[in-house]
Amino acid sequence: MMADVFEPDQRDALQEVVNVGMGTAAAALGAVLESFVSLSVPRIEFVRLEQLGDLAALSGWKDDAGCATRQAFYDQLEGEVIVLFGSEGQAQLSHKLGYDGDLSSTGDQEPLLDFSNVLVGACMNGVGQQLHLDLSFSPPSVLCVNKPVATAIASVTLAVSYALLINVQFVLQDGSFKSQLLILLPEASIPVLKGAVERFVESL
Amino acid sequence: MTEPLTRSGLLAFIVDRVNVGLLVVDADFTIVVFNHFLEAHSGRRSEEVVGKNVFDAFPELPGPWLTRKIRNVLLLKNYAFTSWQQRPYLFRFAHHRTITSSVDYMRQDCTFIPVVDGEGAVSQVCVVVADATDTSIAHTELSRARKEAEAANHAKSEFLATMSHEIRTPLSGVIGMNRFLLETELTSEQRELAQATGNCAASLLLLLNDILDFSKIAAGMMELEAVDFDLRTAMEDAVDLVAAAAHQKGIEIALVMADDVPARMNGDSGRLRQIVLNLASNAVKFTAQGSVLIEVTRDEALPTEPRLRFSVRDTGMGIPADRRDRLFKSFSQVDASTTRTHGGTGLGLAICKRLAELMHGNVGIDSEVGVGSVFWLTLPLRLPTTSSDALPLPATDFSGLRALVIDSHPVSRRTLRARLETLGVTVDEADALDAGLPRLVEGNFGVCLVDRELAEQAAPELRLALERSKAKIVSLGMLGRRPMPAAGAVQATASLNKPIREAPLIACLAEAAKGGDAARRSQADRQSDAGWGTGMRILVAEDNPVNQRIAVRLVERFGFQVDVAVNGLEALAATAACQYAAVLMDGEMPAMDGLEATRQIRQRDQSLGLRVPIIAMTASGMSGDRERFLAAGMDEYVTKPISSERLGEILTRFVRRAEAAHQA
Repeated sequence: MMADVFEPDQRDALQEVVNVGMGTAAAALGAVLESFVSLSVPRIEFVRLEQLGDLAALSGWKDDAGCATRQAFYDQLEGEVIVLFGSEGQAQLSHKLGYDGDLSSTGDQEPLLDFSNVLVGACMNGVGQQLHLDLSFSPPSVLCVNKPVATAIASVTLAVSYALLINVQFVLQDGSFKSQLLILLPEASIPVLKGAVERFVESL
Repeated sequence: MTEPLTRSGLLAFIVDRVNVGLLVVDADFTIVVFNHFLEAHSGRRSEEVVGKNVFDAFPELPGPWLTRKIRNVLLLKNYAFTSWQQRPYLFRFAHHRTITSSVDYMRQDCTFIPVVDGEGAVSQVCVVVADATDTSIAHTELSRARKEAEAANHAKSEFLATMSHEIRTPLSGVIGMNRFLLETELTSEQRELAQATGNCAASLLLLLNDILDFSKIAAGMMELEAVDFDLRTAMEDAVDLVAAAAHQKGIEIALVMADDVPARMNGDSGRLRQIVLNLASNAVKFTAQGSVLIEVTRDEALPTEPRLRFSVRDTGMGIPADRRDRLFKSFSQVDASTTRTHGGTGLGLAICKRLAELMHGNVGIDSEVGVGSVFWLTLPLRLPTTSSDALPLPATDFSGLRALVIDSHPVSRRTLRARLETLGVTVDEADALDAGLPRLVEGNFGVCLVDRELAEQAAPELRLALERSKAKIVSLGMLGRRPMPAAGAVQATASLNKPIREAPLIACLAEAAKGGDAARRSQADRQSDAGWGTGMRILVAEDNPVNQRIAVRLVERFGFQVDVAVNGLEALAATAACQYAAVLMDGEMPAMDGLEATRQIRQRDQSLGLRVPIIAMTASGMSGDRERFLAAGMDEYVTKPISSERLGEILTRFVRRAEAAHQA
């Protein structure tokens, strides 16, 4: 399907844009967390959303007792980001954000949501800047805390059946903490994205 | 003359008077804007605080957290959020409903907005403070209501469990006693009354089961088994149960299973049987004449997911389109008058639908008024997890055998033909005796299957001709119709009851192919079956005197000698004194219950290397019971009212086979 919608030039350009955007995000996150942060090379592909429950497995996520949040972005590009959190290393991350407790103690979800917001904002703004698209954000919300992530995601009601998925992994320092971002763009957003990518290519 | 505000005047007014708090601080946390909402709630005037450090002006604010939050916004140039659920408030303001509200302070949702200047730099942050108290109150109410609902549900399921046991116990007594009564010498009037009593009790049991099932499903407590079972047997069982009612109305009933349907599958055979039985008995109830055909086929609609389709096709009155979707909803029957004539709780189809959905399947109906209806059930096909350890059926290829089917009922004829042809038999058919006999005389048929009614009503010459033919005559009777042995009735060498079960059909054909005489042999077998327990002892542990008598009588039928115990302690003592062939153990008894007694027996006998089969007798039949029994050391269980067949099957399994093995 990628082949149908994006021509090879545009496909490469999209990948490049997203790479650069994530690079900027990594730098910004590093500054905020005062740590070394790495964001993987983003994988871009179309997915059928009936497999949303499989999404965790598709992205190679193996953590059973993880956390997941979601946050929507809108304005010049619309979509949602699902963030998966591993159970290891949450305490350190929490501390770096200025919280005492764990990132995901069931009593206090604030560190979890805060970090999610920081991560999503950085990554999406990074991409948005490259494409000259203004983005606004809704508040984040929790999908599950310390539960099997795949099950929690599978129970979400879906509004669309296909989406463009941009899959990025965030790793803190020596790999002590991992998080996975699943950026989902519905079919309706693809033309907008395509237009932005075309303009980007022309401006080069 | 009024003067409208300038644009900047307007915007300034809005910022000041909007009903959310607006606080703007710059990079060193100096307050730049402090709007009216914040003034009104904090009691501080904007002139007092603007220009001051926000933490100096409001020392009660969470310093480190807020510093971090604002710094991140400045750094990342991105919005940040906080919700009342994570952090109840930023500013502790009194809630403005000072008289009627029970909330002591305002809950707040906050948004942190990076203020971007002309050059695209962010050096200020705008904090929006919104009142979320009403949302929080609604949320608390909802949580409380949910907890109450959950507690009520829990109470309901406990009630359900108790009721299930309490109601079934005396009812099983009524049914069992009535059965024995019917076996005594009764005048015809007494017999009629006793039969009516029995029917009422049986109906009551069905109604109760329906109600309990429905409640169980509604309470989310229905659990389905996942065991391997023989699909054909399950279907034949279901159809058998409906056959009597069908035949009494003169309605044909038949079962056809397609060739590509597997012999065994994995699932809940009892519930599947329940659904099919419900659909079939419904069909019989609402069909005045004609036939009810039950078909099992593969459903290939979804290539990725193999499914089975069970359809019940009747020639009843049909159901108009506007009434169809109501059918599977609880308590509705197509027409209120049908409830009065046909009775029933109206729950049956609703239960079928819920059960089907629990099995990840579906039910539905296709119908044409005046023609009939097809009630269907589709289920995902789950193949068995283990290979069958049942003895394989004898050779089922009868090619070379020719059969003549003489039956006036078209559905019976067609389905029997189909099944015989699957088995390799060459089939010819006739719808009446005078049409069929000439063919019988001419053709070289190995077996002739004749409908019993036709044979009995035939003229004597036809009967004689039939008997004289070389073919083995098999009479097909309707289950439930008592055959009246008329003078000069056809002497068939074997008989099969409709709906015809596969195993007896194959046995019949096998005998025909061999040329042997099946009938007499099976009669002898059956007689020797009756008293196979002779010489062995069984212990019945049951405190309820009625149930005790029933169990004892049932066991005695097989020839066993029976001892009784009224509680677990007596059972323990009895099993120590005597080696029983088996123990029937009731669950709840005074002094010591069945489970505890079983545990102790197992413990005691382990060192001796003994293991007496212990079978639980239970009224409950709730899921989870089986596991409890097995965990305590029991081998099997029967639910009350105990059926003779089930008891026979279990005793055969645990006692007879063990005996046979022991002697071998």
